[in-house]
Parts: sequence; C-alpha cells; structure tokens
Amino acid sequence: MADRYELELFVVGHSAKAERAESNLRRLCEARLAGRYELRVTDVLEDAEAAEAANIIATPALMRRAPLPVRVVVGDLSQHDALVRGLGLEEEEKDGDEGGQR
Amino acid sequence: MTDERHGMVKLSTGMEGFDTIGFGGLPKGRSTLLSGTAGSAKTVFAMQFLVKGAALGEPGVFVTFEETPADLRRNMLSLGWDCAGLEAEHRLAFVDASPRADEERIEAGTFDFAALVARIEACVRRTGAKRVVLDSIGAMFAQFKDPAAVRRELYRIIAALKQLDVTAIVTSERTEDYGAISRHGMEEFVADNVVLLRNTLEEEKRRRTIEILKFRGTDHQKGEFPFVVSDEGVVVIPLSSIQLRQKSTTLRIASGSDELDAMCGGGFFRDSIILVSGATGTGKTLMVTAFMAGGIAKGERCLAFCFEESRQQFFRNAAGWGFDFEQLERDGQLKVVTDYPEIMPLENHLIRMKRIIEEFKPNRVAIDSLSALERNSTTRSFREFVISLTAFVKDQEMAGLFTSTTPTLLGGTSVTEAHISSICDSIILLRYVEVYGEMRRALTVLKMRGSAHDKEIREFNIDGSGMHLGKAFRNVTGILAGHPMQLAVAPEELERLHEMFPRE
Repeated sequence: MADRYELELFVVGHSAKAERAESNLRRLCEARLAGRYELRVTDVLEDAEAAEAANIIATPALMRRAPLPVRVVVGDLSQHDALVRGLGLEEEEKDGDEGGQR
Repeated sequence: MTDERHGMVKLSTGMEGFDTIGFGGLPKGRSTLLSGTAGSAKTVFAMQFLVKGAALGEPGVFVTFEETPADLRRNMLSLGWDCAGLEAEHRLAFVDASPRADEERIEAGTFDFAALVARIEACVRRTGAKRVVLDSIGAMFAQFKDPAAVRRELYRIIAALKQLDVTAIVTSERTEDYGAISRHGMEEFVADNVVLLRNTLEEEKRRRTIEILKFRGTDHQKGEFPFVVSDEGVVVIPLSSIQLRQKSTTLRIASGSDELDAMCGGGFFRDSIILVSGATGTGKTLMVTAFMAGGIAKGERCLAFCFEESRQQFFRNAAGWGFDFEQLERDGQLKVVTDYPEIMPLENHLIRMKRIIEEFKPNRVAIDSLSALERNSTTRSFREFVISLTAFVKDQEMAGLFTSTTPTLLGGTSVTEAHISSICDSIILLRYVEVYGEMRRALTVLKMRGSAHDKEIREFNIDGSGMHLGKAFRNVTGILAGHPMQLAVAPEELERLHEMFPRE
C-alpha cells in the first residue's frame, strides 16, 4: 500500500494525443495515488537521448519505473482498464472505490 | 552514376557484384525493401551496406527491431566488422528498437511511432548519416497488437527517411523463397525498390541468389544471381556483365611442348581458355605441369589449383619430369594451391580463387580438374562457376588451362565438357587407344578458336622427360567415339605403325 510510484510519460510535441494521455493519467493518479506518485513528462523532441535510453518506440508511452518491474503502457491511455492493469492497480481496484473513475 | 533518361542517381553500395547488377548501386535517397526467408543473409547484407558506406566516408544508422545492438556487434565481429570501433569514430550508430525481455508492455489506446521517428532523425543528424537500415520490420508486428497501426506507422518512418535524404534498406521477412514478396504486405509501402534474397535447396545443396525485382524509374539487371556469404560478407557473382568486357588478342604463348605448339598453329592464344579432356592417367596433370613449366621458362608467373592431388604428389610428379616446382614456388614464380573440393561450396571456391588470382597476378592459371569441383555442385552452379571464372581469367589477360576427367576409359565425354566446351577457346582431347593388344595414348586438338590447327589424332607418349607427340594414327578409326578399330592395312603400313615410336 505504501508503494511510491515513479512515472515518466514520453510524448512527442504537443499533440492532441499527448494532451489526452497526460490528462487521462493525471486524473487516475489523483484519484488513486494521491500523495504517493511522482510524474515527469518528457518531450522526445527535446530529449531524444532519454527516449533512446528508455527504448521508447511508440508514443505516448508511460513508463512505470517504480515499483519494479518496469512496465510500459503505450497509447493515449484512453483505455481505462488497460491503464489500471499497466500501473498494477487491479488489486486496489477490488478493495472498493467502485464507481470511482468512469 | 546517373541514369540520364530518368535523372535517377544511384548510390554505389561498395558491395562487390551488387553495384554491377544494380547498374551502379541502389537508387539514391530512396528506400529499398530487402526481403528474404529466415537465414537468407538479410542482416549481413544490410550491415555490410553500412560498413562499406563507413569506409567510403558515408556514416550509417542501423535501426534494429529484432536483435539487440550488443548481439549485432558480436555477430558482425565474425565477419571482421568492428561495429564498436566504427561507433567510436561516429561512422556508425545504432537505434535500438529491439524488444526488452525484462519489460512488460501494455497497450492502452491509440499510439504512433513519432518517438522512433524522432530518435532516427536525431541520430541521422548527429552522425551526418547518408545510409540507414531498418532491420527487420516484421519484428514490429510481433511487438504491437494492431497490424494496421504498425503498417501505417512504418509508412510514416519510410516517409520521414525520404525527407532526410538518406538511402535506406528496409529488411522484411518472407515465408517462402518463391511466393509473396513479404509478410504483412509491406511491399505496398516500400514498393519503389524491391530486392529479394533467396536461400534454396537444390540437389541437396544450398544455393543463395539475389534478384533485383524492381528499381522504380531506373534500370538494373534482371533475374537471379548467385551470391556467397564469405568471411568478407556478401559477395554477389554477376554472370552476364563480366563477359561483355572480354578482350581478345593474337598473342601466342608456349604450351610447354614444342610439338603441341606446332599442332596449335604456333602455341595457345594468351587470353584464351584451354580445356584438356581425358580419362584418368591419360596425362592431364602432365599437361598442366608442362603448361606451368612452359610459362616459367618464359619468365611468366604461374598459378595452379589442384583439386585431385596433394601438393606433395604434384611436386613429386613434376620432379619426375625434371621440374623443381618446390624451388620455383619458393622463388615466387609459381604458386600451387591444393584443396579438397568438398571443403566449401563451389561459389566460395570461386570467390577464393578470384582472390588468389588477384593477389598473385599470374600470367597463367591452371585448374586440375574441373570435374573434381563439379562433384561438389549442382549443374546450374557449376555452369555459372565456369562462366564466371573463364570470364574473370580472360579479363585479367591470362591464359587458363582447365582439365576435365572423362568417366570412361575409352572415348566419351564428361558432363563437365557439355557445359564448358562452348565457353572454351581451345579443346584438347587425350584418349586411350587400344592397338593390337596395347594401350596407347592419343592427342588431338579438337578446337582452336581463331586459328588453323593440326586436325590429326596423334600418338602421345609420356616418359621421364615429359610428353612427346608422335605421328598420326592412320589406320585406326573410332578413337574419339571410344571404339577404336584397326583397318585392314597393308604390311608396309603395319611396319610404319611399329616405327612410330622406335624402341631404342
């Protein structure tokens, strides 16, 4: 429960897709991980090296650096269930909070 | 090289043979789809394109979707390509898009490959790359669920490459050597230029070929050309092109036997190929020895490839006829290369023999025998080998003497001859002849392109001092057919027959 989440969202420029991904992500984080997550947004156009190091191919891409194992969720994060699964929050989903997001 | 009609410029790949069949190389500033089955040497071909480019001062970027850069660096070392060294000199760079085993990937919504495009662009700008490889795009379909999205995004990458003005090779998998151009229908997107690599099994032998299916707006050679993956990478063997440049000369050279020179109307021609055909023991190796010795006596450099005998045997035979080949080899005037035909495929023999010829720069080259090499190949490979080698030898202004062993002791032709007789300029037949309970040897010059020659079938004798030509067999017919028959002869003719080689 006390896991801290270290997240990095890779986007390319300020596309609609990028903005959608960021807002979808922030909404979920605020609802489920308030106070125990850190989110950094990296624009590949400004920092190609970071994308190279993280082996980012498709964007938007959300990288969960902590807790381990590292996971990558690709896409505009509009598929809520896949995003929840990608962040490893399914267990917490069961603990209640039904009728929260969406 | 520019194709005047279309204004299409070709980029010399620096890869031996390929530039020849591509009429100068790959279409410059375009992407070419390189498609082949598993194990058809796509990655080696693609990497070689970059390594050769690096040597020509054109940096390259290798985008890998399948193997990790670490694996590629290690695999390419076996071909003598030091990727890490080239990377340190900023002449080669990897963009790693290979899947990571320790990382889970989940799709949650629509995505694009803009990040990969940005990474490739950044890498191309940083290195000043002129050449790019994407290897292999099929792996992307395994990494992502939606094939339509992958196809659309790969198309975006290829469009971006065009903007960057780089010449690219995009590799793709095929499931069959003769079937759909590529899996996942990628040819629809990289349709301008398509090159196919094949690795087929023919008569239990592996045969690799390359075919340029199309270059949009510019010409190339059509059909399949054999290639090998040697220790220097892919070497394409262009067959038809090399024949066009052959020169011809009227310069005569000594065969090593004055009598044979006389029969040939003054010796062999310099830029000619002579085929010596005969059953085992008829004196083919002696002809080779005499041919070498004849060249050495005139101060020429001579090279012999022996596939039937060991060096020791060849040297011992030569010594028996009075030639110290061991000393001549030490002096550097002669080089004898002996090998088992089976040690490598015929195409590799060809590449290796060409290398040795280029290094040694002989005036004469002999092969003993072509039939031994034929054992190790398919009919088609063998024909291509002979065409390619004879064209090469002639092009270097050398004389070549090749031997061929007939399967039967009396008369007959070998399969070898059927394939090469029209390619050879001169044909000398050595045959056994049974005369009155005695085996004798006969020699005749069957063909001598561009010259008059003696058409007689002459008796041929081997003794401690080499070969000697006697008189013609006048009263025997059917020698070449393998059914020698004595004609009813007058007693004086019988006398003459006995006098042909007087025993002293």
